[in-house]
Amino acid sequence: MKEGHKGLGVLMDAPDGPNAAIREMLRKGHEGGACDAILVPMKVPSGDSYMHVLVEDVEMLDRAAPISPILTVQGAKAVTSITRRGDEGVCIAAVMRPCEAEAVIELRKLFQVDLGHITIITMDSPGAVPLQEFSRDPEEGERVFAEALAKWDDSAMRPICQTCEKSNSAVGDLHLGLRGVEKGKILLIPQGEKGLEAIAKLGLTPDHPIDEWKQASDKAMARKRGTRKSSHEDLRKRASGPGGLLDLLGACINCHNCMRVCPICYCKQCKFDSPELRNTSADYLDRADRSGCLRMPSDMLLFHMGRMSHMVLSCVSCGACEDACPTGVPVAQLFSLVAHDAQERFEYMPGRSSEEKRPLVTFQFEEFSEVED
Amino acid sequence: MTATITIDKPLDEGVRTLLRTMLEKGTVRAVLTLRRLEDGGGVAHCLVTDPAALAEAVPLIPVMPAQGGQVLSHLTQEEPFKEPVAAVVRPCEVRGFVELIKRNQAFGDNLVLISPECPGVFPVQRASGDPMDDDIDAYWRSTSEGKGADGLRPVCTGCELFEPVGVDMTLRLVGRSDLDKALTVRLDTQRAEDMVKDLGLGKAKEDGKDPKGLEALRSARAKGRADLRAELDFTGEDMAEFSRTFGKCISCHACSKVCPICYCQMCYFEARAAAAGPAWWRNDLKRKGATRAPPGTVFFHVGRLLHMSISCVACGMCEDVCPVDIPIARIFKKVGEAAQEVFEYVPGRDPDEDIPIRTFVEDELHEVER
Amino acid sequence: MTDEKKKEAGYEHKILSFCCNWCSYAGADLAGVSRLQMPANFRTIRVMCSSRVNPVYVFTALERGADGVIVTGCHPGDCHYARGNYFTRRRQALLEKVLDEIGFDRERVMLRWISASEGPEFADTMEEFDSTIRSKGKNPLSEEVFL
Repeated sequence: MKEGHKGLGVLMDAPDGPNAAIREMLRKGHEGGACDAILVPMKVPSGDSYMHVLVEDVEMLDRAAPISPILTVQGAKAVTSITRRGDEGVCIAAVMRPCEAEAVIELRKLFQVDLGHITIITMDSPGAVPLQEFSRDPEEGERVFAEALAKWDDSAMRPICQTCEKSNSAVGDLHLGLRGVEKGKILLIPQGEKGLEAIAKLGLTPDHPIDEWKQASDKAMARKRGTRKSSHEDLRKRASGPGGLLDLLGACINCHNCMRVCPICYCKQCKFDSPELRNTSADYLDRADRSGCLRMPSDMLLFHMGRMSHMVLSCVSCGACEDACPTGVPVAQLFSLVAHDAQERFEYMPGRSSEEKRPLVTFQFEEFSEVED
Repeated sequence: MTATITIDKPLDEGVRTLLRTMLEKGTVRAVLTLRRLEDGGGVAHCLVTDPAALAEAVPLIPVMPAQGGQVLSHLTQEEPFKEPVAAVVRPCEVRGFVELIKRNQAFGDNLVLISPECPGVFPVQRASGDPMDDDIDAYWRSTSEGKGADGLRPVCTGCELFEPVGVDMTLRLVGRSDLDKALTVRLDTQRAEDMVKDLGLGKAKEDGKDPKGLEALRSARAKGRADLRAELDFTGEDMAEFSRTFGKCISCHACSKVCPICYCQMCYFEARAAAAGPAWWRNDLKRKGATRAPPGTVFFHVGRLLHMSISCVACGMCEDVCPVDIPIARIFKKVGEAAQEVFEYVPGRDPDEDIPIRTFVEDELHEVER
Repeated sequence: MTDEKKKEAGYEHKILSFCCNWCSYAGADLAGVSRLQMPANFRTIRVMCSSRVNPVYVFTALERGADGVIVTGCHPGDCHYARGNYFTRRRQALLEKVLDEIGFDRERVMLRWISASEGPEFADTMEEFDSTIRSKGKNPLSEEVFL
C-alpha cells in the first residue's frame, strides 16, 4: 500500500455538506493548475440519474455530485474510455468510489488505462441505492441515500454494499474521510507521491491526525466484515449441493449484461459471445437428445462459470452486474463470494496496488503443493 | 378453404397435447417451446426431443425471456434443420426470424412454425421474481373477451400485428369463449394439414367466422398504438427531449444484445467507441467544456435507429432488459414504423421481400432530391 | 436553443460535403477552375460513390459539431456503378425520416445530384445550402454535453 500520509491529513470545512466542499476543492485544484480536467459524476439534465462527465469548464461543476446515490457506468469504464489510447498529457482528477478506483487499478494491470496523468480521488462510500429502484423512483432514491449518508446506515443500500468491507478504503491518490470526522468537516488524506503533490498544488499542508477517522473506519469495517461472513455463509449454503447453483441462476435469461457492465470484463469480443460457442443445428439436436431437452440460448452455466474463471481474481465486488441484471439474479453476491475465497487463496487484493501482479501471471517455486496430486 | 382442428384441452395443455402427439408420432424431430425450469422457477425456450420433457412446457405463458426469432437463428445459423422441427413462437418472434433469414442469419427450412394470436406478454421480470400466477386467469379472461390484459409490456398494448403471418399453424385464442375448454388450431399451410391428418387429433373442419372479440382487440390495439405514438413525440425539439430521455442510459447495450435484428458479432458503435482516442474527447472539451464518459450514448441509439429500425419488429425485448426503464421499445417502434412507412415495408411479412435499404426502385422518393 | 446563441457574434458555421468521385467532385473541381464564387465554410470528403455514405456518417458529423451535411452524387441513371445513387436516395429518405422522428432539424442535411459538367450548379448549391445553414446558426447538438 502506498500510504505516505504519515498519519496526517487536511481537515477541510464542509458547512454545506461534503458534496459542496468537494466541488469547491475541485474548482480550486483546477484553478491552481493541479489538473486540466475533472472526471466526476454529474446529474443528467432530466435529473433522474448521474453520469461520469469529464469537465474542463469549471462553471459546470455546480451540477457535479462527487458522492452520488447510484453507480451507473462504473467509474473504471469511464476512465478506460478516456485513457485507453493514452491521455496526451492532459492531467485529470477523477472522483469515484473506492470500488471504482480498485477496478481502475486492475485495468491498469490489464493495460486498459493510462494512469500517467490521472489523480484518483476516492471517498468513504455509504453504499449505493439499487439502480433499478432508483430508476423507478428517483426522488425516493435521493431521500434514501441522503439518509444513509447522514446516518451511515447502509441497510437500504445494495446488498453488495452492505457486505463491503472496503467501502472506506483509501484507494485513491487522495481520499476523503467522511465517517467519524467532526461534523461539518471532511478529512483529505493524501496517498503516495501523487497525493502529496496534489495536496501541495492545492496549497494545503497535512497537519491533522487521521487516527480518529481510521478508528471509526476500522470499527465500521469490522462490523461489515461480520455481515459479509454471515451473508456469504447463507449464500454458500444456497449455492451448494446439486442444483443449488442452477437454482440461484434460475432466472437468468442469458443476456450477458452482467459481463457488459463489468469493469474487469474489458474484452471487445467475449469468448462466450463468440462464434466459438456456436453449434450446428444437428449438434443442438444431439445435445437436446442427451437429456431430452436443451435450454436456449444454450450454455448459460458455462457463461457464468467461464466468466467467473476469467475475472473473479480481479473482481472488486462493485455490484454493477447485479444492478444491470434484468431479472434480479444475485450475480454480484455470488461473484463476491467466490472472489473472496479465490483472492484469499492467493493473498491477493484487487486494487490494492498497481505494482502487485495478478495471481495468474506470476508464480513462486514453492506453493500450492496441495493441488499437485 | 382454411381448415381448423379442435383439441379438447385448453391453452397450454392443448398445445402440449399437440406438440407431444407430433413428437411421439415422429411427425417432428424436436419442438422448441417455452418451458418452466426445474430450478429457480425461471422460464426459457427449450429444444425438446423427449415427449416426457414436455410436461413442464408452458408454450403460452405470457413472458418472453428471449426473442424466439433470435433463438431460432442460434439454432439454424450454420445450417438448416434436416428434419422437421416444430417451434411455438409469437408473431413478433416469427417476424424477427424472417428478418434474420433475409440477413442470412438463419434458415427456415423444415421449421414448422406454430404461433398464437398473441394477447401480449408481461415484463420478463415476472417469470421469476414476481410470480404472475394470480394474474394469468385475468389475462386469459381478457383474451377471451377480446380485451387487452392489464400489466402487459407497454409496447404490446400498441401492437396491431398480433395475428401471425407466414406460419404453419395459428393458435386461435382471441375472443373465443371456449378458451377454458378447448384449443382451436388453424392450419395455414398444406404441410400443416398433411401433418395433422395422421395425428388422430380429430378431423379438420372449415374455419369459422372470426369471433367478435378478435375485431374488438384489433381496434383496442389500434387505439393503443395511437396512444403510444402521441405519448412519445420528439418532433421539433432540437432533439433536446430525445437526448433527455436517453440521458440516464448506462451504455450497457443490453437493448442491442437482445434485439433480434442486431445480429452483428461486433457492433459498429462498440468498435467505434473502442477506437476513440484522446483527439475525440479533446475536441468535445474544446467545443462544450465537458463531455460524458464514455461518450456516444445518444449517438449509439440514433445510430442503432439508422441501422436497424427499418426492420424493427417491435417485440419489446429491449425495453424488458433495460436496467433503467427507458421506454426504448416504444421509441424504436414509433421511429421504426415511420421509416418503414416510407418504403411501405412491413418487416417479417414475407421472406421473399427484400430489405428496403438494398432494394432498387428507379422512380421514387423524388422529395428527398432537393 | 435561444435566439441569442444562434446569432452568437462571430460564429462561423461548418458544413461537411460528401462528393462522389465521378460526378460531383468533378463538378466541384470545375467550379473551382472556373473561379466561381463559393462560400468558404464547407469541407469536402470525396467518396467513390454517394451510396458509400452511410446515414450514420452523416449523423456522426452532426454529433461532432458540423452544422450541416450535404451529400452529392451523379444524377439518377448516370451512376458510375449503375445503381449506387438510387440506394443513396433510399438512405437519405431513411435518414430524413429518422431525424424527423427524433426531433432533429432535417433541413440541416441535403441530398443533391450534380454532374461533372455542372460547375455553376455546384457553386449555386453550396451558396444555397450555406445560406440555409447560416440562418439556422449553430447546431444544437454541438454544445450538448450529455450525448
